[in-house]
Parts: sequence; structure tokens; C-alpha cells
Amino acid sequence: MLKNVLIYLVVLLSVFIFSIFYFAWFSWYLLILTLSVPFLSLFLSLPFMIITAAKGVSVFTEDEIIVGEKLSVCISFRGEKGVFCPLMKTKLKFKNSFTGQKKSMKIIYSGLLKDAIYLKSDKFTRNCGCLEVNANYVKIYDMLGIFFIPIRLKYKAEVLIMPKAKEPSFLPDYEHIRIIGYKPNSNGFAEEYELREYQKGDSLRNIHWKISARHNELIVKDPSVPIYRELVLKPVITNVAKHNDVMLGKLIYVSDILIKNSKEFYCLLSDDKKLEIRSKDDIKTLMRELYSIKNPQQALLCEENAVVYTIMHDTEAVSA
Amino acid sequence: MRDKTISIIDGFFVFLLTVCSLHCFSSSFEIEVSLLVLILFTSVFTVIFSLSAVMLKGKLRYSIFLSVTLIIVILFGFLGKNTLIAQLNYVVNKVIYAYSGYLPIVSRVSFSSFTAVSANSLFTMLSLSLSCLLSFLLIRRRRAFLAIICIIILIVPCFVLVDTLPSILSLLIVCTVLFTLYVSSYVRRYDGKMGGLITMLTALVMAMLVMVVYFLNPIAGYKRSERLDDMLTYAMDSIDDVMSKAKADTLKVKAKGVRQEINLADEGHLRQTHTPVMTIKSSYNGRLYLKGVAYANYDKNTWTVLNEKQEKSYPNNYSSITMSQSYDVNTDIIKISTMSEERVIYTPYYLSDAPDIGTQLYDVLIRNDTSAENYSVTYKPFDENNTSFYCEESDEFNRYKDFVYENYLSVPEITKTEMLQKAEEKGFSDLPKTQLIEEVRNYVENSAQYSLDTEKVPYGKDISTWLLNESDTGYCVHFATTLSVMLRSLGIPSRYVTGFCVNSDSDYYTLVTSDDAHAWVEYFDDNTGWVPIDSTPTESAVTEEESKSYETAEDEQPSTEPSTNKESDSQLSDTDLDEEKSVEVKATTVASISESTFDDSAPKTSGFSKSVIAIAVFMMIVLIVLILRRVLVLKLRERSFSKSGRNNRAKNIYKYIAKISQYNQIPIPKNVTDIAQKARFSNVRISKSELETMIVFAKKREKAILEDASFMKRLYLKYILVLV
Repeated sequence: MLKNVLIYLVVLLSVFIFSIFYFAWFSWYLLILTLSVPFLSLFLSLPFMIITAAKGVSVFTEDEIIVGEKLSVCISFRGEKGVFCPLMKTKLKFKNSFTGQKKSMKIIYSGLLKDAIYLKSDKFTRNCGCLEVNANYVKIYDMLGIFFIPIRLKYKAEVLIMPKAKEPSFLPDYEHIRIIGYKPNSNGFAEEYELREYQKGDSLRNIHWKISARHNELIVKDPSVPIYRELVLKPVITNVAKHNDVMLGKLIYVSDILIKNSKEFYCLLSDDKKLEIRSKDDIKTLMRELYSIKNPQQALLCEENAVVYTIMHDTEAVSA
Repeated sequence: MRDKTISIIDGFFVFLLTVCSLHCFSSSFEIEVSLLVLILFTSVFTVIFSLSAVMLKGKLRYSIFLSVTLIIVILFGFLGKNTLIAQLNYVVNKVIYAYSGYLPIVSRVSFSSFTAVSANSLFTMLSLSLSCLLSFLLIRRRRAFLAIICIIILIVPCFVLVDTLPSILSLLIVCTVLFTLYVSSYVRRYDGKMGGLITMLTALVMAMLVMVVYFLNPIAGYKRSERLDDMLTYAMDSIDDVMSKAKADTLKVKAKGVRQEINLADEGHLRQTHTPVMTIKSSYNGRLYLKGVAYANYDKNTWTVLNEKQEKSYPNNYSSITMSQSYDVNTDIIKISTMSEERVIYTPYYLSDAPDIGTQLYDVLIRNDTSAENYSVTYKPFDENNTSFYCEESDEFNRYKDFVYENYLSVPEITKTEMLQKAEEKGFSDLPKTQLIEEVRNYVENSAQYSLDTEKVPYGKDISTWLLNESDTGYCVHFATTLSVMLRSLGIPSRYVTGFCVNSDSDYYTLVTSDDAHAWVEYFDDNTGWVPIDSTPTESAVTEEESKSYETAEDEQPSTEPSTNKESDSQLSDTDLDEEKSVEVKATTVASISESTFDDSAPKTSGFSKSVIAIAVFMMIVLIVLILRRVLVLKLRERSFSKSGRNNRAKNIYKYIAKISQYNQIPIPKNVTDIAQKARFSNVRISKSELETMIVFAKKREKAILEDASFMKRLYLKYILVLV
């Protein structure tokens, strides 16, 4: 590590200057000792460095996490038995594809590598998004952190940072969504039905006897289901990460309520793309889709046959 | 709670650092402290503070504990304040005494009605504070670097301008602990359990290294490298150059080849080159001093000629180089043929007339204006018993005398003090002037032995005090400077003169070489003027042993001392002279002794080679240990395969097979696994054939793995895997 090399060079330089200005035996002695120290450190560490490098090291992270929670990064030794690692350093690069933020995390560890080591940090989970994690190298250093053996790691992973549910000021009136029509019910029975003249082949059970008697003509009940207006959730994504977090929290909250009440709904992703949400798994897909949106500018789409529930970070709106 | 091992080790480190650093401090400044008391109290404090640092959870509890401790300490301090202040007074005075050579503090500092004779109580309090601080940093906060810095801050004053080396054992222990903390700082921070073990291991190895380096680089055998001296001189010269840019006094004496200043700090081992400089012919038979340049000012081991300010105050009408009275009787003429490009006219004592070809530059030198290679000088050989005619009383002479007393008595203050102390010790102060000069000359002459193999003067020390107090050897520049400085300190004007000292044979040409370059002193006699005096020991003063050693190396390293018995090389007849002249000689400037070349092959410190040997020995020992361990592991494995019951042997063999199999990822055959499971889990004893199967398989697998593996992996498997 550069810092350790610099520290050592500063120590060596100080001792060297001391040896110039101090005439007694000790200055020379100290200079020899200081010169020997890195080699001693290397000598003590080299077998362990080789073993650690030969066996290798793995890095893991969680797949999904709630915003604001600490992200766990796990480092584990590949061998069955533990080994002493004099000093290990790796650098994980984090990129939030939604917010565009880039951060890195240096992991330094020294000690017994047996059980997995968990490091937690909330530095990267402050905003919602999809976190791309990369690590190219792990360096195994000697105890002083001067000499090292590099190991190629090539680790790549994605961490989905889910928003924290937040109750909006009002919910869409999903119970009273207007019926815009009916469609035949293939099941053959429904509370809703239309009346028409008997046609050959109709089931006798569908004949509406009272009306048929009144009109003296066979009238049958044609079972049908109502066609409701679609409920479309429209998240308004902005360039401000905090606003997006709030908005997405509301989206999650509304989605959970709708799923619990077995309501089908859509989420508008772009002008021509909307995602149907039926279950909680669909929510993860929705989030991935949302996080992959490069341009947050969206057209204010308003379908006639849909109830559009627009979610913004500070307010909500429903189109009539 | 932290791991026990590292807590115990850290506690022990706190104890060692506290005791040893305080002991270093006390021994360096020669402060009287009972080591037993220090050890006893520090051990108690360390235990208390270490336990509290480990066991007290939470910042609040620990802070309360420290506050209570502080209150108790203050209470005790208040109760024994008189003793503590007296001991503080004692310690401060001891420290000031060590720095008294460098600080303008002469009188003792006193802030107590009485001064203690030891500092036990004060050091106990210091030990309490230090152990508290170190236990907090090392055990509680795990900040090894901060602890190291604290100890360095405590230790550094022991080395700054203090001559006494601290207690070696304590110093070595402190070094061991500090380097151990430095090396193991990461593992201590990240893994408490492993940190203890690694710290212990590092401490053991570091202790070994410290001892090996110590025994291979003992204090007695230490010889400071000349390169370090050169670097120091260069550094200090650079600083001086920067500082002296605004120097008001500039040197004005200009003559080709003449050095206006001679820095004696550069004078180390001397090698002589036998370079011919001139030939002389005179009717005088005996030792002849040919004076070149006289240096007036002395500071920081450097002689300089008169500066601009001094030149302005010089009485121009007076010639101090020639005799005041002209005598035709008993005068002699010396013929000089120079081969040097140097434009200085060398003159014997005393000149009757200034040579026509030269210009007298104050009382410094006679410049050879015409660049004449052959010239003659009339002089009257120096007679100690009759010096009355060298100068006569006149107004000019009196003015010059005032000038001399004004400019030829300056000596650095510290050097003067030391010289006066020496003179007091030797009883010079009560002697009459003539006897005093002779006694001083004898004293300087006998203060060291003559040797060209003399080291450079250590930086910061004055060459004269160094010769009198420390050095066993010296050559002309050392003796001349010492004599001049001592005479000046005693109020006798004197100056440093460079030139040549040759043995002249009457009516023969004598070859003068760079080996004859010499430095001596002129003191000012109120009646006679400048009188030459030489304090460099002659051959008779050199010990028998030394003489032998010089005899063997005589051809390569002739001495620069005034040679009394040399009959050898300098007698040339006129015909010889022509022949000699025809030889192309590269004339070299030899105006001063300092222009002789320094011997690069002079013995240098062998510290580096010793340290290399030490490291090699250390590596060898470790290698042997590793080899022994490998042999031991292999033997034990072999034993576990061949001794004890068949089931146990099968288990051991299977364990070994499993261990080596993980490297090539080839699964172990079912029959072997079955045998191993049978040996492990059933009560049935496996048969001999089954065991044999396992042994055969183990050997085959081992061979296969080694054959398949690359060279590096094979090395790893054979030599490193077995060690862990």
C-alpha cells in the first residue's frame, strides 16, 4: 500500500538523517535495524502470503437490500482450513445505475481467514437504485503492507436497493373504478348478464323464464363480466435521488395494498410501455425496470380507459 | 473483552516501554533513579491500567476510572509537592547540564528551597502517567502508531546534543518493542485473537534480530563511515552557504592557487603523492621552514586569511614579513625553482629583503607577480637565542602590534572556555610567557600520536578540543591548530601557517615534494614579531609499534611531519637536477596540507558488511529451523502411517490422501473411502490387505499429484504445505 511505503520511507529517511547527525554507534545500529524490518516482515509473511494467494479469496454481497440498511460484504477464504492472512486489501467499486453515483470501498483485513468476514456499510445504500459491484484484484501484502502478491478476482454483482414503503396522502379508489363495458364470460355463469333472443345451441339453464313469459319469446341470459377502467400507477422520476426515494416508497406502499386486495394494476414505465403487476415478484421486476430508465423525463400519458394514479415525491394525483 | 493473549502481551509491552523509556531518559541525562523502584511501581500501575482498559466496558466507566485515578494522583502530588518540586528541580538541572555546552544557561536553575539527589518519586509519577497513556492507546484504543510516537518523543531528547548514550539494554528493549508494534500493527487492529500470537512471534523474531545485529555490530567495533561524515559536511556547508550569503566580510587576498580558507573538518585520512613541487638550494644545512600563507581567523574548524575589514585596518607601511634591520653578516641565499603553478613565493625565516618579483599582501603572503619559476631569496637563518635583530621598536611596529592583538586572538567562545579549563588543569596560567609557550607546545605535542591515518573531526566538535580530549592521533594540521588555539586562549597572538618543511643539505639541490607540505604556528612576540613554533611530534615521539607500521608502508605513505632524519631522496646535484627537470612532471598545487589527496582506500567501517553477515546468519538459522521442521513433520507422518493400530493408521493415511487430493480435485475412489469409513466408524479392525491398499493408493496419488503439478505448485506442495 502506498501509505505504508510512504510511512516506511519517512521512517527510513528519519533514521538516515539521524545517522548522519548522530555520531554514536546507535544511529548506525538503528539504520541497519530499520533496513532489515521490511525483509523481516516479508520473511515472516511470505509462506502465509503464498498459501492465501494459492487458495484464493472470494467476495460476496447481498442481492437485495432496503434503502438505508447496511450492505453486507462478505470475504471468505476458499480453503477448508483457515489460514493466517498477513494483510489483505481489495477495492470494491460501487455504481448506482439509477442515481449515477459512484463510490468505492477499500477492504483491509489482517488475521485468520477461516470463517467468512462480514463488513457492513450504509455508505452505498442511501438511495434507491441498482448497485453494480465490481472488484478486479485482491492484493495479499506482508505484515508491513509493503510487498504484495496480486490475485485476479473479476467479481461482478448487482444489488437491488428497494425503497422503504411510505404511505401516500391518499390512495386511489380501487374499489369504485368505473365499468366501461362488459365482455362475455367464458365460464358460463356470472352475476352480470345481458339478455338476448334464444339462439340455437344455447343452454336451457340460461333461459330467463320470467322475461320469456312476459314477452312470449325465449330470452336467454348471456353471462358477461364488466370491463373496468385500468388502474395505472405513474411514478414521476426526477433527477433528485431523495425525491425518487420518497416517490418509490409511495409506489411500493400502493403496490403492496393493491396486491393484498388482489387488484391488478399497471405501472407506467414510458410512453409505450407499462408493466402489469400481479404479485410481489412483479414488484422486483418493476423496480429493475424503473432503475434501468436512463432518461427520467416521461410524457404525461393519460389514457381514456385508465385511471392514472400519478405519484410524485411531494404529492399524488388521480386522473378522472 | 479482548482476547486474553493480546491483552497480556500488550500489558507486558506497556510495562517494558514505560520502564525502559524512562530508564533510557534517566541514564542519558545521568539522573539518579532506582531501577527497582521504577520496575516495582510500573508493574503495579501496568496491571491496574491494563485490567481497567480491558474490563471496563463503556466510555463512561473508563472515564470515571481515569478521573478518579487522576484525582488520587493529584492528591498524592499535592501532599508530596515539596519533594516533587525538589526532584523536578534536580531533573531540570540535570537536563540543562547536558545542554550547557549549547545553551546560554550558565547558572543553575532553582525553583525549590532544596535540590533532591534522586528523582524516584518524580519518575514514579511519570511511570504512572506513561503506563496510563500507553495502556489507553495500546490496549483500549489499539493505536500502536500513537504509542510509538509517544515513546519516540520521550526518547529523542536523549540523542539530541547529549553525549551520553542511554542504557543499551533498555534501548534495545525499546527498539524491539517499537519495531514489533510497527510490524504487527495491522493484525493487532483487525484480529485480536490472532494478533496476540503474531505479536508474540514477531517480538521473538525481532528480539533475535536485535541481538544478532547487536553482537555483529558491537559498540567497541563501531567506526563511523566517512561517507556519513561527507554527507554531514555537505549538508552543513549547504546550510552555511545559505546563511552566509549576507556575509559582510569578504576575503580579498588574491593570488593564484592560494586557498583563502582551509576547512579542517574535511581533513581525514591522508595519502601522499610524492608530487614534486620545487627544488631548493641553500648553503644552510638543516631543517628549513618555507613559509607560504598565514591564516588569521579561526572559526568552526576553518582558518581564513584576513578579511576585508581587517585589511582596511592593516598598517600599510609596515612589512611584517621581512626583518626590520638589514644585516649582511650571516645571511644566506636560497635558490628556488618552482614546478607549481601556484603564485606564492615561499620564504624561509627570516627574510632580509622582499624579493623583487613579488608583492607583499599584508602579512599573509608574498605573491609571485611575474610567475617566475626561478628566484632567489636572501634570508638570515632563524636563531632562537638571538632574535633581537628581527624587528625593532618603531611606531609602525607598535601599530602593527595593536593590529595583531586586535585580530590574532579570536577563538570560538566554547573552545576558549575548554582550553582555559585545560590550561588551568595543567597549571599553565601561572607560568611566565616564554616558559608557558614551551609548556603548551610540549603539552600539545604529547597529547596525541602522529598518524596520517587520522579520522575526520566529528561534526560539531572543535578540532583542537577533539585532539586534546578524544583523538589518539593527529597530524600537522591538528597539532598546529590546537597549539594556535590554545595560545590564543591564553592571550598570546598566534596564527596558522602553511608551507613546506624540508631538510636542506648545503650546496645540494633538494627536491621538495607535496609530501613535505606542512602546517605550523607563528606566535607573536612583542619584541621579536612572529616566531615560528612547531608542535607536530617528530619521529621520536611516534611509538615503536607505529614506526614499524610506517616503515613497511614508507614508500607509499611518507609522513608529512617535519622529517629530521630523511637523507634520502632530495639530494640532487646540478646535473641530476637537469635530468630531473627533463622528466615531465605534473605540478600540483600544494600550498597547504589540505590539498593532499585523501586516501579512498583508507579503512572504512565494516558495519555494513557485518550487518549483511548478520542478516545472512539470521536467514540461515531460520532456514535451518524450517528444514528441521519439515524433516520433523515428515518423520511424524511416516510414524503415524507405520506405528499404532491398523485403524488409526488407516485414518491417518486417509486424512493425508484427502489433504493432497484437494489440489487436483480428483475424487477419492469408493473402495478407499469405504476402508477409511470402516476404520473410523466400525468396531471391526481392518485387514492388512486393506491397509496395504490405502498405503499404495496414497503413494500413487502423491506421485500423480506431483507429476501433474507445475514447478511452482510442486515446490509449494513439497516445501510449504508441509510447514503449515
